[in-house]
Amino acid sequence: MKIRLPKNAIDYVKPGMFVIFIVFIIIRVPIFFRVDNLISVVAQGAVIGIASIGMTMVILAGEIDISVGAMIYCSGAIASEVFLSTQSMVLTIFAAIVSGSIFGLLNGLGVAKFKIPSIITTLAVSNILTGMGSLIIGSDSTLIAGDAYKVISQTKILGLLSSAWLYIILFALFLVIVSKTRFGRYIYAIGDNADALRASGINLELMQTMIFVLTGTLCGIGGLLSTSRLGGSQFNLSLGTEIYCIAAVVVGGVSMTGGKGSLLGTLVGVFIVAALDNLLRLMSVSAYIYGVVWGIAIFTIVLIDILKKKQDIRNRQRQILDHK
Amino acid sequence: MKKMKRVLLLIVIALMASALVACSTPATADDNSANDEVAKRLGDGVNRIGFAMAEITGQAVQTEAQAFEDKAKELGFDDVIILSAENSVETQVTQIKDLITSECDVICVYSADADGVVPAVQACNEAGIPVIAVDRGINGGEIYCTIASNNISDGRDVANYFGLMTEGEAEDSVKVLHIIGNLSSTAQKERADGFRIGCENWGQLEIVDEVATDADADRIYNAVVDAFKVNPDIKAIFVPYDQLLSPVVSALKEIGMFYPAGDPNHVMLGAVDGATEQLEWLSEGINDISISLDFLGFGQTAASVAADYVNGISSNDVVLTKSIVCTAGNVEYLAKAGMLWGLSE
Repeated sequence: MKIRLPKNAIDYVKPGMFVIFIVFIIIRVPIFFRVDNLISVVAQGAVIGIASIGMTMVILAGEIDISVGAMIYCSGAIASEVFLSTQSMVLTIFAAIVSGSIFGLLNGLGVAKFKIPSIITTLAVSNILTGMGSLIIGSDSTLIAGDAYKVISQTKILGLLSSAWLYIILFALFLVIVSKTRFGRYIYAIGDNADALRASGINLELMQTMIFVLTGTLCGIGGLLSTSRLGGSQFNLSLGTEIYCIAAVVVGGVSMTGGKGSLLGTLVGVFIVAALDNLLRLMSVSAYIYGVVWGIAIFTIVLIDILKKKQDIRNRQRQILDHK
Repeated sequence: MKKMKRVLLLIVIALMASALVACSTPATADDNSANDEVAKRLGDGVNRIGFAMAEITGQAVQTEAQAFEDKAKELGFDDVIILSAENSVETQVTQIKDLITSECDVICVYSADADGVVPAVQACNEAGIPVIAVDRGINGGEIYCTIASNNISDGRDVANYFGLMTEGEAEDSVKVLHIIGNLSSTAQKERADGFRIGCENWGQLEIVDEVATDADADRIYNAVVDAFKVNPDIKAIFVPYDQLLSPVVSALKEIGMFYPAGDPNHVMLGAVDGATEQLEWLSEGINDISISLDFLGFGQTAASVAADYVNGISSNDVVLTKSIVCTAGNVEYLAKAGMLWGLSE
């Protein structure tokens, strides 16, 4: 006997898995739903979340930025050193934001002005910044004495850490920018059909550069938060963060070819990535299978999304044929 | 038909025989040419030595590299080449092959991966260049000499300290968090094994969680915060090397679990390396034990063994360097005595 699945079976897979997942957590890791844990998940995901805002814009524009981790690392190192030398919070914040923006500008110029593929440009910048970050830190791991530097990310406001608040504010701001402004529409248009945008007289190079600069700025803020959380800079801190950002963006349903997706999707993606990381730790998953479980979970979520998109296209084609 | 088969059999045997001859004859020629090459290299008037390092970030390995360079120059090497592979075994394999091309007389390797680097070691063997494994062992090829500390013993010493400090406590009552660093590092894997073995010897010690962190400070920080949610009564934490203690301390401060040594709520912290900051922390009561490895010794011994080889003096297959257990009670004395690479008076 052949079992025939309903045509829209895939629609139920993700919600079904979600329900099973929630039941599993309630039974196996009830601690996950404790308010303090959920608050710490948001705080743990703040840096990835902030960098993912930039990554979403870059991917929506049909590009990729693999220097995100290195930008966070290097701008964080710069911020720590500025704080160590000046003890000035204003100068420290300024240094982090400006350095991040400059790194983003390097990427932007490489991609937009010199037409070097983004994967090559950002790879080169990533290598430069990794070396620079290590040079700034020097042979010691610089741990800043005192708690003054931690104020930026560790201050509790209405039960949430300031890093989480900063993420919420930046997310709201960029949600408006991406979905409600002309610049936001251009981001989608670059990823969808850059030639058409150029033909309509828009300065494509400027738009692309701005996207990378904004991503760099966000990474600068990310670097400030990550070093503030640890009380200073560390060797190789946050290197590889781009993998988590790309995972969050893709899990959130943003198309890797650009032009499709939303920041709200990325928000869900960031929460899933941070929650999964937190869950695996709470469950004491073996060090040796941690990566395997993480990878399979992300792969499954993305696969379901792709299957669902394919099914939607098939359904639409069928509707058109029926209509004809 | 039978005749045909016999002919075919003869042809196959003839082919196999010629293949065997073909395989053996050039090998002899290669051996001779390799020996000639070695003689030529050693007699060219330029003593060149290469050191392929897995990475060169961090106080410990920088100390090792500097000690190696200074000693090699002191012992008469004209050209000292030090390369860093940024922890990529592919890069390291390429770099070692570059060192062969550069006609190094001896190549020292601080391996990025004990197995992954083997093809490069075999390439050195074929070129007749001796390989000295420094700081970490290599799992294949012909190694002229291995200079390393006993990582298993280093990890076990930390567990023994935790055990001694909590002697008399009830079975499985002392919860221990084990932070796993870089899974591809042989040294860190051995330290982890040693730590587990040590904990097994003390009934009161129970490793409640082992967390993979890829030696990433952010992940270590999150791991500590999350581990205390599940096991709020963790009494000791082990990390594979000193620099990874900073995020542990920051996380303990965030969750309100940081108490200095001597306080009944103090969480014991132990690591390996003997870096300056963590040795200073011992006196401040931040951490409890640091195993100081002989990074100066790694570099200097590697250069000495290489110089001996060039001068025709043979060496032991394995040279174990000394590790020193440092605690708040002895760190000042050890520093004054000049026994610590990371701290001196």
